[in-house]
Amino acid sequence: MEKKYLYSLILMVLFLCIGKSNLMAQETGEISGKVVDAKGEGMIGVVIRVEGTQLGAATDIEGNYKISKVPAGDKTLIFNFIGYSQTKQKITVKAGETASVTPVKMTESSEQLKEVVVVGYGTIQKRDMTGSISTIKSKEISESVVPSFDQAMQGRAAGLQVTSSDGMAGSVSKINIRGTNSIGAGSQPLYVVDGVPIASNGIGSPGLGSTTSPLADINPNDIESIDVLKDAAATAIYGSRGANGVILVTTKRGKAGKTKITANYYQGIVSIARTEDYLNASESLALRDSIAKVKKQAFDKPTTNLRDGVTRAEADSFVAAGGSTDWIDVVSRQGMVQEASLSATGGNEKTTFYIAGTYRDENGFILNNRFRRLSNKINIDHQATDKLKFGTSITLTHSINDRVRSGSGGGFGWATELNPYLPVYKPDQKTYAMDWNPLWHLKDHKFEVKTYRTVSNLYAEYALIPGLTLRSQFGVDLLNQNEDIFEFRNVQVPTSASSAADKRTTVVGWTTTNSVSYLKTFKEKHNINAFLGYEVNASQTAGMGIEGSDFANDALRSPTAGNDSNITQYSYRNNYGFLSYIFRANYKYKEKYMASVSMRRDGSSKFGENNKYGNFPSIGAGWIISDEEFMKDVRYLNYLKLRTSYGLAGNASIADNASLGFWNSFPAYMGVTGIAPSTLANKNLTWEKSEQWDIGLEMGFLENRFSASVGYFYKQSKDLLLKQALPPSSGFSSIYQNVGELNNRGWEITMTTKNFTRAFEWSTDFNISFIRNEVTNTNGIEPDGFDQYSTANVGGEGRVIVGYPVGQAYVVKYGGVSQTAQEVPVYDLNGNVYAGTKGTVKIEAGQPIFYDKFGHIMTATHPDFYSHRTPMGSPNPKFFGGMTNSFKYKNFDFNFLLWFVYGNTIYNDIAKNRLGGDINLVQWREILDYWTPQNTDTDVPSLKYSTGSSVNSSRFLYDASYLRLKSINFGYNIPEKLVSKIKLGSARVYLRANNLLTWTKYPGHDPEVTSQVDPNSEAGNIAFAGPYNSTPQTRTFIAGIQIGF
Amino acid sequence: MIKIKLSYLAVFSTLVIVFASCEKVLEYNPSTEILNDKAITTSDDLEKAIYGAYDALQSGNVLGGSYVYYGDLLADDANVKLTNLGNFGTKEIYERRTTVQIGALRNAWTDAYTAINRANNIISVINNGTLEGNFNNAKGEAYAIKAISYFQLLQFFCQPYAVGGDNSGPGVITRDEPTLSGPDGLAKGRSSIENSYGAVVSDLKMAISLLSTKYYYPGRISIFSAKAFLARVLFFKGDYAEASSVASEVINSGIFALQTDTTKLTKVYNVTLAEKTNPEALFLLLNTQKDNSNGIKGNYSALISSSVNPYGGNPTIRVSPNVLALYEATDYRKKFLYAPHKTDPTLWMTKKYDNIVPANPPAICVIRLAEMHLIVAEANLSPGGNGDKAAAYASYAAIRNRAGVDPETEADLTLVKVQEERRRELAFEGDRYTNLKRMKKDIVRYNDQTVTIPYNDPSLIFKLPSEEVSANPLVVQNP
Repeated sequence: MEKKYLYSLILMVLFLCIGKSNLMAQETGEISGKVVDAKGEGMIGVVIRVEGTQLGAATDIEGNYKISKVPAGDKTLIFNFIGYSQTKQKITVKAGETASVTPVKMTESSEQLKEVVVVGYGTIQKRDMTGSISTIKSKEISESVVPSFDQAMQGRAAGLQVTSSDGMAGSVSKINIRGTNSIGAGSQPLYVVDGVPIASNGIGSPGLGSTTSPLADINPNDIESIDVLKDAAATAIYGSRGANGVILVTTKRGKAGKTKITANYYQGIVSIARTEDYLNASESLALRDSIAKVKKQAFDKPTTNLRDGVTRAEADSFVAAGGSTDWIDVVSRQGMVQEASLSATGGNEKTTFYIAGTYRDENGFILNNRFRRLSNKINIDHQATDKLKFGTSITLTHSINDRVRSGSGGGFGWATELNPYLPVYKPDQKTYAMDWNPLWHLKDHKFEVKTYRTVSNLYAEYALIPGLTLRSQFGVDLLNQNEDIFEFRNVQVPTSASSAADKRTTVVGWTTTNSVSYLKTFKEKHNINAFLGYEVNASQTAGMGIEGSDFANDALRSPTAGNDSNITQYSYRNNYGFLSYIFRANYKYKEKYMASVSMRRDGSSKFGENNKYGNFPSIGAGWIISDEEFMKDVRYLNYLKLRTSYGLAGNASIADNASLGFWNSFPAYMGVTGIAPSTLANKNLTWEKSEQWDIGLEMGFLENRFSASVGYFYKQSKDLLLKQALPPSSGFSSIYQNVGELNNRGWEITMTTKNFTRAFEWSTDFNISFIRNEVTNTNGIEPDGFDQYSTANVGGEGRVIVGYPVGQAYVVKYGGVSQTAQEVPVYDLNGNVYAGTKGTVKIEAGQPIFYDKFGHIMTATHPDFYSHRTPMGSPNPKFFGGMTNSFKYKNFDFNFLLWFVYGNTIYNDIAKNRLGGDINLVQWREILDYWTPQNTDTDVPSLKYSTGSSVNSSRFLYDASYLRLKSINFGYNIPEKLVSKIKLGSARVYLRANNLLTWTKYPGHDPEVTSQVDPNSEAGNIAFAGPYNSTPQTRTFIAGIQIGF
Repeated sequence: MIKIKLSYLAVFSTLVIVFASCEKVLEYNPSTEILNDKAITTSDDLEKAIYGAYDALQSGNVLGGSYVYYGDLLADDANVKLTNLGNFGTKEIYERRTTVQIGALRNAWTDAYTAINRANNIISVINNGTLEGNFNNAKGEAYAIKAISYFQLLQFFCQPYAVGGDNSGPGVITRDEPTLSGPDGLAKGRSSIENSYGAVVSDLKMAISLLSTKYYYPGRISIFSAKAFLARVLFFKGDYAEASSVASEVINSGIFALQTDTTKLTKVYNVTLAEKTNPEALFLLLNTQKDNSNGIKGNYSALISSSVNPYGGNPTIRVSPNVLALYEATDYRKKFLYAPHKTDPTLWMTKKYDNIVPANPPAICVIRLAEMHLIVAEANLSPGGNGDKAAAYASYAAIRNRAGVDPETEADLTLVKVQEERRRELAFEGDRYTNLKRMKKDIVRYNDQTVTIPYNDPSLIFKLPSEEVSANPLVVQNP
């Protein structure tokens, strides 16, 4: 048996070299026929094979097919078409004659379980899957109005948590598949577009606010499906890069038949989704005076400088005239978004194509923020011969992102903190009242980010013998980003100077995959699907920039035209490469027992000399219980499948040079450059490892009117990269070591119900995930060893503590307001009362109280106040998920998506300032609820204590649970009768909105927010739940029309 | 048919190209860093590595002035502006509560050991013999950098050397080899005070044996600066005869002279790279602004770049009235080196760090000829010294004459007078605190006159940074 195949293989190789020759000398005949669908219409592209031979054909546009040179005798034809059940037909072929086959009717496999799921390096029927993969369809992605597909995934897949970190278009989102998988390395998934791993980390100048996401270069409209690979059986095939999960993006490909041209246009408005509740101008001024009175401080004099030259007298006269500045309103506007796209798809039995172009123009709600994207997509597939097929996918994108300063970078960030009693302009209405104000910062600054992106591949497939296919693919990911920054001098400040920067980043990545796949059914019950591949992937990032300032003339814009002594520049190059051997085999017995094994061997430039290669195996099994005899009699339950998997995947999201030891150069001494050792090598440095066990039960009831799946996973991650501290006397402070451990475990539940299926259709998709993240080993590193901001160890943002999730808030517990005057003992860190006068402290009524780590009352004056921090709250939700309800009646359709996050907390450091910490900044209305002997039911201390510097405590740790009406869609298909009158194929009008409603108790701008850090970094893992001045989400309404020709 | 064959060819050629070039992707190609094994391959690389070692030595936390400041916070020369002291830093140092994690002290420890490790790397590369040529002078500089760094640590992180007493207490961690890998094998305990001083002396003697006798440049360690440091260490260690003889060698070298031009007196303590002519400097830190902006000027000098009130700065260290009272009215040092504050004339400032040149921080004179004279004078008169009172008087008189005050006679000379002269001469140069401990004199600070701090009080000694204690199980923390 084996030998026979070996011979045919050799034969085929020879065959390949000498070209096609006529070996068939025996007597043959022809077969012809037609394939139709349920409606009796011809089906194009159905693949027909003569069983037991390599002969076959595909149907043409009419559904007709013809197979010649079929040896005479009784034959069986096998008909295959994606989404349809396999069909067989017997026929007798006589030499020299054409046997006509009666038209074969193929039936759609109505069950969603027959859907094809994209897995790494191939596809598989959903029914046969042993792994855990969620698929998001093109409709769900294209119905979203967000500019980037990563945001469109929110709420669509169990186990996938998407948090948009910034409301500005083109910003990076934080995506976690089954929890945070790392501490010191990246935790974001691997993105693969049509088989090419792509750059996904944010690029740009973080100092100006936020970075731009390379994922925004992929046009969501061109996406056919997104498959989210979650468990080891699915991700281990991506080896050292699979542990954080993998997101496979498949773009749309052509379908043979009449060319379909579709035009789509929508336009809408963009506004801020939520704002905070601030005091108005007169309230703010009154508060200042009340505080001065209570604290017995000097009142403001008319000449007191309130901020940047605005005096109290000026503020008073501004307010007396009824003035009150809503600073967010000043820097915001009603934005506008429009998108126009045109696509064409079609082809014949040999060649199919999909070409599309889209232009999107989004003027954000922040002044001067604009995102424009022009993208083109060309996908072509060509069946050259029965055996040879090749094709290409080309994505070309150019975007111009006029970003603006936000967050701690100023601009919008400033606007969120200015008091309403500060006028925008001086009474002349021309000059700014404050020289340094957000309006100037947004208007006179240019921060234009241009990107040029190509994600493309070429492939060729050759069917060597039936079932055995060779495939070779070469893909590239080219990204060029230019940042053109010009900050015009502040004309109101004679000493200020303009500054300019020109920063360029180029990412060049390429991937080549060569593989053999084998598909075979033996004796009608053993089904084998095997894959063997070799892949090389490499990427280089090069960056350079020049910054200059102080120009001789305002017309000068280039950084090099600046004052010589102010010019600074940098350049760098990083690279990495992976070299991989990939194997997978799926075995199916009697269509109901499935087993899979996979193995990938990865080598990488990122790993230490002693650990260049690693192996990543997985095994999986599935059992379709409902097909067993004993289930025949179970009513209502039509489908039941149990699957489980176990495997190992790695996380290679570490710095490109993390394992190497370096010297660096720097200005040393006497103006001479010197060199010195800067990093110690760790030759053993390696990928982080995640072992994952997964079990799932899939069910279908009442002919799948109700289907559900329940899954449990346990993911144990070890060898996590941590900076191990070295004794400073060694001359080094730390070295990266693979030492940390954590685990993620949880339940994922998805349900789909078809509530009404007649004229009125109503279906519901629901998913919910309960994921628990727990750090089990930090190699003895103390919580403050993970401080991301060097906040003198007192900030309330995330830490890493054994027994708690990554990014755990670590704060002193707030005890509210003392209702009475009291005197309490003061305890030291060992729980003993301090000796002498330090041993007691007097507390006034209205004073805030805190609890020390033993639970005793203490005040903010405790000598070791911050040593009494304890882990509080949770950076991760207890559960999150999405629910989509879709309705359809005649030509109307309607759907909406609810996204919910429950049980997480955010440490809002800004709240400290908004609640009295700095009354020179805008205050929340909540501060007026301060404690008085009459108003005792409050957490806000008396005025004496709520203002001035306040300490970090759990008072500012807020419940950030929310429920959001994420998107809503209403569409109407204009009846065909009307449409055909104006010679159109189809026409549809629609209305959409996103972020329409949000229910939350969170008092900040937006509960869907993370701090402005790179999500794929240590700071992203640890400090994400401690945002500072972040930009809220947008609310968008659009109306659109789609026309088919 | 031909078309198809071409396609096959394309597939196969892709395969071939890829298999041939694949191993290259497993390499990292650095552009802004140097791989360890490529760092020092030529003598020019070695020279750059030496500048790298000086970079660590000139850190504010090693020789760049922080210790001068910390010493004055702990000793009795200064009238400290307490409101200038910062939390988690100088405030804790002043209050002697250094159990708290203080960044300043962590850096003091870390930067000194960075210098030591860089020096060890240089010594190791030269000893490996892979470079062609004679690198004795470079090796000598490296040994001296190491010794100076140890000595700075010894003075602040350890009890003073007890002359003729017990020196078995914990000293510094001595590292003889460069750190090339980790984390294993990096734990090391502290040597005794005796052995630590021994290591400093032997490293300096090694440096002296290697350094060229022909070469002198004030910004680099020369044989003379190495000898000057050796004299200082031996003097603190109580080896008075040897200290005196080494100091005399420096005095008698004929290269250095006390600055007698009183208009240039302030430039003795700090000059810039551009005006490096300082006849009495034995070792100057000639750093530029790009290398390092040390904070010493801001801590001591009231001179600010303001056209309205150029002497209106508010440094932390002001001159204690007790110090001013030590000088005779005619003393040039009082006349030229101290000045009252412009807005509050009752407060006096030292002008030793006034020498502001825009874009250039003052280059600090780390060790100068006057100290050699004071060592000779005091060592010769101390018990165990060589007893050469004539030489002692000659040195004493040199200092007094330069200051424009009466040197009196050899017969009148006493040890106490020399010690007083040392305080007057070296005030605010980082000498007083360690000198009080050397002389076993308890400390009464100007701002805290009710408290007498025993010279060997454990609270005076800085605590080792917690990073060292937690990552080095063999190390002993100070009490």
